[in-house]
Amino acid sequence: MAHGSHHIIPVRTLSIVFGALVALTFITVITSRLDLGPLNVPLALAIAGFKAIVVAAVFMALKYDNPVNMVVVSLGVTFAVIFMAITLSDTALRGALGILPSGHIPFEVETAAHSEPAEEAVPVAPSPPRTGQELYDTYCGTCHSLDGTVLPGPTFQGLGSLRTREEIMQSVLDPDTILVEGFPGLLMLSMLNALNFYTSTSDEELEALVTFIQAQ
Amino acid sequence: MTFTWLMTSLADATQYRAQPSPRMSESSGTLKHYFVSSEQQFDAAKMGMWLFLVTEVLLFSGMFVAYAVYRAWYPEVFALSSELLDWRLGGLNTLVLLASSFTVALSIHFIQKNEKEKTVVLLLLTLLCAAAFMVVKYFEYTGKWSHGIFPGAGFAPHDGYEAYNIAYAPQFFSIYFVMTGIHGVHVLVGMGIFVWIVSRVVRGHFSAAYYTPVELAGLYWHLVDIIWIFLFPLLYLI
Repeated sequence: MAHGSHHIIPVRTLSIVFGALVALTFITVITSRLDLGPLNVPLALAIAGFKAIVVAAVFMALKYDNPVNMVVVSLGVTFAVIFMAITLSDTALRGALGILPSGHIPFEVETAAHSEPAEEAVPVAPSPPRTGQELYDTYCGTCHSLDGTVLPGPTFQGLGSLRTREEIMQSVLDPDTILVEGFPGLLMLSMLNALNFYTSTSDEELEALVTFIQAQ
Repeated sequence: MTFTWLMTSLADATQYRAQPSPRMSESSGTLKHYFVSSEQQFDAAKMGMWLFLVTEVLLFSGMFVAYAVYRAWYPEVFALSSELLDWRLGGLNTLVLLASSFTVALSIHFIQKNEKEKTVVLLLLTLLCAAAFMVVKYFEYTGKWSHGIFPGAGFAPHDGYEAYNIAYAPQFFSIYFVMTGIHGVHVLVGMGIFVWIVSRVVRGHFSAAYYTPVELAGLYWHLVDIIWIFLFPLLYLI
């Protein structure tokens, strides 16, 4: 056999690789059940990456193949990595210059930016001020029902007799200080941030919203 | 023009040392006149396949980037939404696809040794695995649809899934359906290719001297497997 590209890979090698891939699949599942904090994602990606390299090297015979094919694959993967890295660095660092609010660029900013200078592009409360009911419909109703229905957050039904006005205001401004058992923390804050609640709501509107909730 | 020149130069540069040698494929008429030898023809075809696979990698990389951006923005939503995906079904499909990659690799081993019966059996096993993958996928999709879990604007969870009706959950499921859907289309295309390959093996078109289409179909199938190796932990095991 003079030529490398017709290398016959032994059944034994193929079987060992298959066994290793199955074992790595079980290891991925097991490690994903453990709480490793920030290490869970890198570990899962490292195992997946290793499996991919093994498949490419042995099943796809890159290891025995003409090296030019390795160059072709490496170039392709390199460009995919560049694509991922530059896009993520853009989306993760938006707002770092202090011109725009962090997170994704909301629609209001995009349209405002065409007609106004950048300093004024921060979303402002529309006038006239929205009512408590309108604010509830926009920001709260997805997760908190008024009629006792169970949604991702606890219902507002009867809340006025359970909590004081100060406690309700506190829960709106800093959602994780009072948690109801059985409901997740963190979610509400990230939702409200994603919807630009804190940057677009005036003090007057906040009071109206708390009054609306307290009346339930 | 530049591209064609580059392709020819690469093929020439890598194959310059290959000498014409009398082989069965040449006498049986599979060698095109513009190749020096069947070795050169084989390697050129294989590099063409690798270039195609690179375009496939870049196609999927666009979807992986969309996944990464939305996950970085809304990690809690992704964690909560992926609870609806059954990791046991995803894991089963991972094993099924790995097994099918194994049988494809074995089928190439046996065609290289001229053992065509074993090649046919192994390729039929590959088809069986691919069909099993699609059946599992069918039950996963219909299970989601019956609860109103649709991609994009159709997203309206009901029948016990109301708690998952949160902002940006539709984006997670759009990404889930598009990525697994396009991957599933690739599995279906692969099944069609293998039906064609099996029929050609049975008709005696391939042997140890000429098996290029079997090899190239195998490369395609392994890439489909590799894509799923990444999709499984990213979608099911968050």
